[in-house]
Amino acid sequence: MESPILRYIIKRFINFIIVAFGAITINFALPRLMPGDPLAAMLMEMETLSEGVEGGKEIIEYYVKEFGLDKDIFTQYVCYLKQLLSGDLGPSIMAYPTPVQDLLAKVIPWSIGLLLTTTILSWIIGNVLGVFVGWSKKRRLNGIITVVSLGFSVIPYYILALILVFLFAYEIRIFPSGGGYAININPSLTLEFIASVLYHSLLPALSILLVAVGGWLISMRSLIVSILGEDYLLFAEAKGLKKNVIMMRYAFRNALLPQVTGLALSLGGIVSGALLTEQIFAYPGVGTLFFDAFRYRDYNVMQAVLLFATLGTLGAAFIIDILYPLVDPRICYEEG
Amino acid sequence: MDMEGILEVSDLRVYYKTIWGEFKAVDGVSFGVNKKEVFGIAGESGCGKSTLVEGVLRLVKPPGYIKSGKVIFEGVELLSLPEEELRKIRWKKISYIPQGSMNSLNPVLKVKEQMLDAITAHSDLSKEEALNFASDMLKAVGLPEEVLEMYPHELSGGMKQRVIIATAVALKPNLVVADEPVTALDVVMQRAVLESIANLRDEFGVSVLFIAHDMAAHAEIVDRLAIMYAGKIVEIGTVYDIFQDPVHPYTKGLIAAIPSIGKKIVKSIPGLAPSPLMWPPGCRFHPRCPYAMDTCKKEEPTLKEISSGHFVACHLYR
Amino acid sequence: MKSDKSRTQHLKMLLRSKSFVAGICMFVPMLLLGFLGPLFISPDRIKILAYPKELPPSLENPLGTDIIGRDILAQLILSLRLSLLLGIFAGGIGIAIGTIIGFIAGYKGGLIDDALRNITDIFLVIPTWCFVVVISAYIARLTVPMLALLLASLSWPGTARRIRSQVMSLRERPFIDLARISGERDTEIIFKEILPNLLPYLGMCFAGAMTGAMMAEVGLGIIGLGPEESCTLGIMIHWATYYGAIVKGLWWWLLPPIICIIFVFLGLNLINIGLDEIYNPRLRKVTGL
Repeated sequence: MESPILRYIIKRFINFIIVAFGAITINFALPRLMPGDPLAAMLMEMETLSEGVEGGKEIIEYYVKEFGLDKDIFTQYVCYLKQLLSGDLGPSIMAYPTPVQDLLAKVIPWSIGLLLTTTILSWIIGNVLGVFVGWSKKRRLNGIITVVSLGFSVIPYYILALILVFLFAYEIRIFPSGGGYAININPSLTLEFIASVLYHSLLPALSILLVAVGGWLISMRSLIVSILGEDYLLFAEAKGLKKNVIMMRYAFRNALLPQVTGLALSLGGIVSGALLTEQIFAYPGVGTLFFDAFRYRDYNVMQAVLLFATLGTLGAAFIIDILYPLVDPRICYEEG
Repeated sequence: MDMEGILEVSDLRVYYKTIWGEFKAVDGVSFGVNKKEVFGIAGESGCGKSTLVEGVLRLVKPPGYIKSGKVIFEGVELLSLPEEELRKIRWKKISYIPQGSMNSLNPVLKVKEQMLDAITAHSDLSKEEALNFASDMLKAVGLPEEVLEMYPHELSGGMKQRVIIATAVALKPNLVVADEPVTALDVVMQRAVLESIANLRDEFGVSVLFIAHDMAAHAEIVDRLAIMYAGKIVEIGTVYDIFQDPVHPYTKGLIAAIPSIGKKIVKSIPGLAPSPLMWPPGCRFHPRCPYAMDTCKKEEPTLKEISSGHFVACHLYR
Repeated sequence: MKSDKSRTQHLKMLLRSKSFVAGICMFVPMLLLGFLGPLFISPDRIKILAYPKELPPSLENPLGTDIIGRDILAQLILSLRLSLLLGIFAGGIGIAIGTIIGFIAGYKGGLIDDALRNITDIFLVIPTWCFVVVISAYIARLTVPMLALLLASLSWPGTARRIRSQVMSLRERPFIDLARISGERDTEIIFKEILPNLLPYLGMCFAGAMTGAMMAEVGLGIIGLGPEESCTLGIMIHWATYYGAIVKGLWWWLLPPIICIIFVFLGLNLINIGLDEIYNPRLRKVTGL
């Protein structure tokens, strides 16, 4: 017995696979489409950046095998896919012989921690505040909050990060200007360490939070304003329901739907912006790794980061898509 | 007919502020509804019927506003009542069936949730009792119990309308205000709903304020009827007064325009309905009235009683 | 159904939206500064050591000088111009591509729509900034047109999505059926009936695409990537941070480009909000515009 929910999930999953494949393929095609021989370019870079090419021979052999430059493109593609599935992303150039996946594994927890908390927190806070602002009749207060939020919402995270660093790390020195934790503490599950981590992550988190909350507030507020004119709100009022009930069960529930979709759509931008913000704070996450890889022209790491960011965004969007029917009962029954 | 009044509207004015000026949608309307009666308000589209209803229920939204007037329900003046008191009266004593009920149901809530929240907000029934109550109501309008578990988008327009009606009468209010409740339904459904409305009055003693532009519907169930034109009431009387002895030229035109089997000539009223931005001076009907005199262009006629309970606003009857 | 309002009527409607007017007031001065400003500054001001180093703002140098003695106001104007140019070109190309793809997907429907939608999704998911950085790493020399094309290649999906949904909803409207029955050919329908109704959305998409492109460009500039030999707002911020404006407290170097960026983005966003207020039927009912 096929329920419409199952059909919907399957449909979304197929979509996910197709798009994931597309992203992986683009990632595969990228170095091969670039002008010039990426291998030669890599070696040239290594020669100029380091003192002699340490382990260069091994890298070349590895790459000839990986790229399979003597084999045809399809075999290369299949090799690539096989390696991906086994979690092999190749060796890092700047940190040879450490494999890329190890480098990534070290930094991903930091990024996910920062991103997950700030994204979820800002979405919740922004939406809740947005409801109150959209619903309330106090025009003056509303106006001020709206303008301030709008102002914050258009600033790119990293720009706000710069301003915050300037203000609070240099002019008024109450926050550290970078790093994931104080230099003199060893990473371990002690309270001291955790406190240090939180202290160091405050400014980066704040740069993302302030902007994102502003954005969600603005969009939720305008949704509520447009819902205020809907017939079902009038009917709810005619039914003599309490204002809070109408605000929550009728207005908020309906406004949430586009906000959930909006979250899925904005993930790409959030990831991008967060990466750059990390770099400004030298926060030990994917962003800093990416930037270092860029400086050393470590194509493997860069491609891996791009792939991860893409698939991560896609995965998160997929999860949100799956959860969407929980809030919108209409979706399963539509042609989608 | 000495009946007790349940609703008394005095000189109600509801205007809309627009960039082009003030829309005087309801411009001095007065009438009364008695207990245990179905009172109809008839008129063309755009004459202000829906705005009148919103005004009576104090549901007018910006850019509309209530300019002046009184609405007295069971002795209480509604327009100056504090919000919380009004909220308590709502639904339990006065309920509302809006026009175009298609969009009046919350898309993200199940039908039962939307019926229940109205019931539990105004009574002490437990959830179970309320559920049973709701399913009884649905049966009364001809809907199966399963509808309770459904979402609005799974129902047809007519079904949604009936859910709204069931919700509106669930608490057996003293007054039900129904704005075009049967317009969107097919003929069979119309008959069933009209019968239920009449039943409300007969069995439960509920008064109904029945708004419709379809004169035939009025003829079927109303006890008394008011004819509205251009934001004002032009004639009030019992259903017999209006249909057998229409007095105002507009009323006569409306009745002549009702099609029926055997009627060879269906006359429509010439001209177009005027705009609420600029009502015609004097009697608002004079541009379309076949009996217009000079006074009609200058002076606005007021409602005068020409026989017991039969009022008309026309210079032909002084 | 030709657009039943004349251009002046549209203009009057737009001017009634406070957001739109505010947006214009923020964005247009930036445009003027960026495109007319260069006429008023002499190229000597940006020569190295034209002025003493690290001067705070004064009459001679309204925005002070940087650590190699160049006038900051002049730099700002030139950077602003390049950034705006990049944004306009990338945004323009982006919405051109996006409109074509979105239109075909929405109008034709079916398998073509499915295929195009998947392609759009793939490009939507790729983080713009990462992608451009990776490509820049491969390309030794990044010229302005290349950068514009690169930015455009990632700003079209947003437009494509919106245009597609607009076209799909327009396609079902009765006036299209009417046009078809009255014998209008497909191309006629597209140009006479559908396109005029799309124009306000195109305006919003352009503002969005331009913002996106400029954001990516600033993101690139900040880490030092940008068109060579030229200065954009992002690169200006990069120099400021890299050469210690924060540590030395040279706020007049760091803040002006930031403020310009905020003005441009805020302006474009407000214009978008204003357009939405006027042309979105549901909002119009509530705001009474």
